[in-house]
Amino acid sequence: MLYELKNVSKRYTQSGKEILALDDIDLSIDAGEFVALQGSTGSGKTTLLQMLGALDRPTAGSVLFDGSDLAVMSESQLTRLRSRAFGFIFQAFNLIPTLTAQENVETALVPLGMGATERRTKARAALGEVGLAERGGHAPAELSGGEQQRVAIARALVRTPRVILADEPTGNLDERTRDEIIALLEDLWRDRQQTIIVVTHDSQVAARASRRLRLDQGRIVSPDLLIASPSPSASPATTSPSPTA
Amino acid sequence: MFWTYLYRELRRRHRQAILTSLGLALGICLVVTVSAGASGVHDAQDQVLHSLYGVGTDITVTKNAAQGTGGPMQFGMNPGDADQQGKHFSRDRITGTPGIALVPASDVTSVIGLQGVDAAVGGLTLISVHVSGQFARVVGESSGSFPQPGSSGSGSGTPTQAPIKITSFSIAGVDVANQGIGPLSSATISSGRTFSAGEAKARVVVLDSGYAKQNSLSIGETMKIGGLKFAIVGLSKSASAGANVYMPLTRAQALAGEKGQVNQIYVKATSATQITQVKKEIKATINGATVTTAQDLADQVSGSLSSASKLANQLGKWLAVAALIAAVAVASLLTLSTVSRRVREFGTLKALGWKSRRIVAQVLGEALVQGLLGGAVGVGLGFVATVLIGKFAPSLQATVGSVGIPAAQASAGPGKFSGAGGAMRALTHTVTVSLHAPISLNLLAVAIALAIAGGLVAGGLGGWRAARLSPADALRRVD
Repeated sequence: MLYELKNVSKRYTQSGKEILALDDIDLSIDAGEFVALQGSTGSGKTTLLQMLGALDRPTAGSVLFDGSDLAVMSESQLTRLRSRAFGFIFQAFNLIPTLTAQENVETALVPLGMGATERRTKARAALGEVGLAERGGHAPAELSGGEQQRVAIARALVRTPRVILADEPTGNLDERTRDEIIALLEDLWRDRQQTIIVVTHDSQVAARASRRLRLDQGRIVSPDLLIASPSPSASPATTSPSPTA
Repeated sequence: MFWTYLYRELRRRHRQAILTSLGLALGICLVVTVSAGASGVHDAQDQVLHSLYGVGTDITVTKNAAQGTGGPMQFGMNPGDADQQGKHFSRDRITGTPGIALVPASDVTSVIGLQGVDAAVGGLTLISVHVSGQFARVVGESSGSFPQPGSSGSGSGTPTQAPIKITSFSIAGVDVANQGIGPLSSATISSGRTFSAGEAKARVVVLDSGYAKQNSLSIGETMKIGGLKFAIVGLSKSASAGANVYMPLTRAQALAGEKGQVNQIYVKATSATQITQVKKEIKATINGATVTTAQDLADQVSGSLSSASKLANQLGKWLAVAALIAAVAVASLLTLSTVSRRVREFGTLKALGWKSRRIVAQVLGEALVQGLLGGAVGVGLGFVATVLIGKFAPSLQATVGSVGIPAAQASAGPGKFSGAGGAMRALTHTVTVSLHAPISLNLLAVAIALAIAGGLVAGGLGGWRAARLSPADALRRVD
């Protein structure tokens, strides 16, 4: 089991009001799963994703990742974990506007203390994997939305993370580009058994996942839809529902 | 990655970076200009003080004359017998500086023996007054006798107006064996030579070049002083109104009839830290002595130089400090604003595993570069300002009283010597100096350090703000 969440709650204060973002969540995720988190705005799906990515700590409960509780780790331990185990993809791409596509991919390798030459080599290779080998020298402003998201995917992949966490990766893309991106993610899942956790409103995206979780007011409410684990020759999605933890 | 990111970021918001740098530049420029100006005023004050009693003299010692001593000069302009009436006469009188008492030269020896004293010499300042003209005639009553002071006038005639010419010049007696301190040390020999050590009793003089020109005197000629001929061996130039005539101390003592007496003692301390102690000991050694240090004279300086000094020290200093604080505050606010606008960017980097200190270093680096740029421009602007000060600043005047006599007292009224106004003016020194604003290496180093400090403060505040960002909060924020 890669993740095990027990009694996880998250409260925070906004404009003087206390918000209960997550309410006593229990959840397990295995390595190699493609999990889609769905729900309306404010349901807590992004907060849950941030818990899973060690970007935030729960107010209560435990978040075990590979046996270690992220809730009690120090900030420096969490930072180290993020630099090695997780890759993030954001809705707004979150590329550094002043750096080129290749340099943006390199930013993921800076915390590893790698030399400049090795960094550049790996970044070029990652861009090649997403089909942008020729675009490495362009600034984000010179790339299309789909290209920018590919750069973000390359940045997430370049250090071979245990988990890729994507927050609405197709939210800012047109239909055709969305399909390209989600196909890319699906290929990663199928070909590399990459663990992927995606927050999405888009049912088309969710349909590609092996497991869908629906959140409402900080709770997992919908039955866990489990799709058989992919093999290189498997065809997509047959669902057999199983109850949530 | 660090320098690439830094350069690209500054290039992206180059307008803001330039504005921040210019703000710091203005503050640094003011600091440099005011400090250089204050330094120039200080140098001018030193020039004034040095011209008074010479480079190397730390302390001067005088003694005020007791009340009732001295009295008016007598020139014997009463013709006496009737057959002298209407005839020409010429009189010379040489006297010590009014208001300053004579002390024995042995006091100089006592001062030399004090701890903290490196050297001491005696000096004698005199005034020579020459009166010439015609004796008055008496007209009217037949007695022909000249009216006496206090007489009622009955039975006496009325004296006519007699034309009288009065000239005067000041004399300074110099210890020829030790000219490094004393009245001649503040002057430079513009032509000819100064005294040699073997001329202690020689009848030689060095003239102030302005006085020589005024009286058409030149090297090789002689001038009569007290009825004796003195050879002119050199001409001197002094920034202040020094003596008109310099002669060996022994000669000056002989002229005044005051053998073995001096009315000034010039003292050089072994170090600046000893001056206060030496002053105390001299006061204890010489009863009734007025002991004046450079600081005492500095406190007496009046005139436009004094006003400039106050302006530089008070208003100028605080203006520069206020400008620098304002510049750093603006730089800090702009840096904080930049960090706020880059919250998502920094949150992303933290999500990628960048440590807070790495992000803080990035912010600090950007602020530091702006600070250094502002410092360089500020120093450049300050340099231009100081050049302009040197070119266009008006000359400043400083007036300081003669040693032991405050300027206000020394210049108060003609006293008993209404015919010897020039001699009285020798009691005060008015110096005209040109203002320069030198930039020293120290000042440059301070300016650069301030620029770096300004950048560090601005960057530190911004970095602190960036470090406190939680990646989750940063990514939750909508731009």
